[in-house]
Amino acid sequence: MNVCKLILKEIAHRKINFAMGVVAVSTAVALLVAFITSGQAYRRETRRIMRDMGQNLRIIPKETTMDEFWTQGFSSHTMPEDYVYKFANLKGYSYTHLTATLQRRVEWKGRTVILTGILPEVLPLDKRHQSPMTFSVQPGDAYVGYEVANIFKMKAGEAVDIFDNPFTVKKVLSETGSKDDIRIYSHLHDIQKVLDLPGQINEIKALECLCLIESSDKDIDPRVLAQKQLDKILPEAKVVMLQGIAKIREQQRAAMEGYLAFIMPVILVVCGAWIAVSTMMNVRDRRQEIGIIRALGHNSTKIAVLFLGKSLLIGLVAAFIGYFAGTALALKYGPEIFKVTAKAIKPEYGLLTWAVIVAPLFAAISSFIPVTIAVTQDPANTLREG
Amino acid sequence: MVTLESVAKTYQTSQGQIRALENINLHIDKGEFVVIRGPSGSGKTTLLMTIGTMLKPSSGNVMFDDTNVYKLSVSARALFRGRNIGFVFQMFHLIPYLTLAENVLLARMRNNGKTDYYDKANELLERLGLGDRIFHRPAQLSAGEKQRAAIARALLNGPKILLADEPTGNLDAENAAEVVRYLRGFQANGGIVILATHGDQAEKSANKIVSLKKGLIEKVQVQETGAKT
Repeated sequence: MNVCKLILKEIAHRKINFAMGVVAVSTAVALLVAFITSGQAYRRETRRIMRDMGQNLRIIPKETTMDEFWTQGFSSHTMPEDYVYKFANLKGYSYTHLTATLQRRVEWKGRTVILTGILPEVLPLDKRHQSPMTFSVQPGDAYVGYEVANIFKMKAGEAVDIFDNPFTVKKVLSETGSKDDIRIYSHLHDIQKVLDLPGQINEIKALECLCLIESSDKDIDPRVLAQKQLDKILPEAKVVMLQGIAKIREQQRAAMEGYLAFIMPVILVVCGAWIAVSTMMNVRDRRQEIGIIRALGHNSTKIAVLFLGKSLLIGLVAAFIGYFAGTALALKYGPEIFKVTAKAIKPEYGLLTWAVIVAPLFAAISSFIPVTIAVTQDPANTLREG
Repeated sequence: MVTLESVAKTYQTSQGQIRALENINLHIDKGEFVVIRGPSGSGKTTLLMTIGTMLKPSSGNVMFDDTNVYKLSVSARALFRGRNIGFVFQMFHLIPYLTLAENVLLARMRNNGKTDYYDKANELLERLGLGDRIFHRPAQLSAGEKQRAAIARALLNGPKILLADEPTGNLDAENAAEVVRYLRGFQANGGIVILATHGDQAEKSANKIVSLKKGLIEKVQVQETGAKT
């Protein structure tokens, strides 16, 4: 009568006990699989959104220090204006709007203003019919920020002199509550002249940028990928990515993972305790069986193998059930909980391998104390019992 | 032969010490049928389990020929028990989800040479009148049939000693007599039978009757039955 046969026959005899164990381990596996599958889909979709719904790139001179950039909102270094045309012609990139700017903070008439030169938006050929996103400033015109106009009592149509360069105020802009209120916008070439920086810009903004990527690049961070591609034609520039949507989603994902990190240990402890109790009940039911097996001359190892073997089998069965149940849960509820599209969720087959290895071990470890009790039971006592 | 030298067994409980056996000295020869009798709580089962290598005495020695069984390691003792001792219990202790044949085969010792256990199990069950019940489960048998199956299990490895703890306790007179008859058959072939009981039927077949009272041997009666070889 070999051990495997004994285990299988006992399982067939005590189906409910076996089923209880399988349910406990399956639950733990299913929840883990569901969370991980949904989480992976979430990550994939965040990237897809970044790519498909448009990355907003800011291309700035390579020497720019980021602390200064984020403090000022622009770089104090410059790069050639023709970079914007190189970018516009870059194969593998498409965009909806492309602007080049030159910005500088200056003291004018005793007040701080940001002179902002804007090149008329470069639109892709197939999108030339679209309206530009930013306003197009004609040479000689100035668009004045709300606060600047307020301080100097400017009105549309007025003539204004900026460092010995004549401009006409085309429009006073509405209050925005941001740095834009202290800007004076003009044509790029006019501001280049005012600042004595001919042919220079300090930023290119590419909006709703789509990146055509090769399959080998699909798992690379989008910012790194963009830099890699730009290095080929704009070696003196670097990329800043407006993470907007991705940042929010990343925060959401971090929050979800935080919940997972809290809930999963609780689930594992509960399921582990459930297995331990179920095994203990099995040990109690079989105490006379254990006694007679010992009386027949079999040692503790055989007793341990009978119970641990059953636990391993429980884990193995539960691994498959839990994996498929977890995947189904992810497909059904993942879109709602993780805010992803159903298409993004797909089975993670690697998790099945993980489940097949870990679930039996989990079941065996959870059964350890009851098995120890079984092995150390005094057969002389149990065999006296009626 | 089996020799007990100053064997004592004391249990520690929350109410204090319980002396289950005290100063037991006993010698049992090959081919003897020994009945251990006494009222409930006299130490019969304790003595049987001690002889059966299942309950280590608090003091004293249990010798099987020249082997002091409680000096062996736990696993060596288990192996010794499996090869040399067969047990029969009042409650049969058959595994409910195994067939009769499988219950008997449970006693199979892996490293016992080339014994063909399947044939032997079938032969034993046939001999005990259970040849047509081999594939039946214990729940489908009568009490007498279950006890005979338990005897078959006890005999599978060809033991030298059969220990029976009130084997007829749950049987009617006819089945009880049949069980005693099988035990006598074992004894007739040179085996030692040690039977604990507070009944009287088995005593007629015994060479030696050991009376226990409160863990002490009160007396040892030797009687002529013509059963000893």
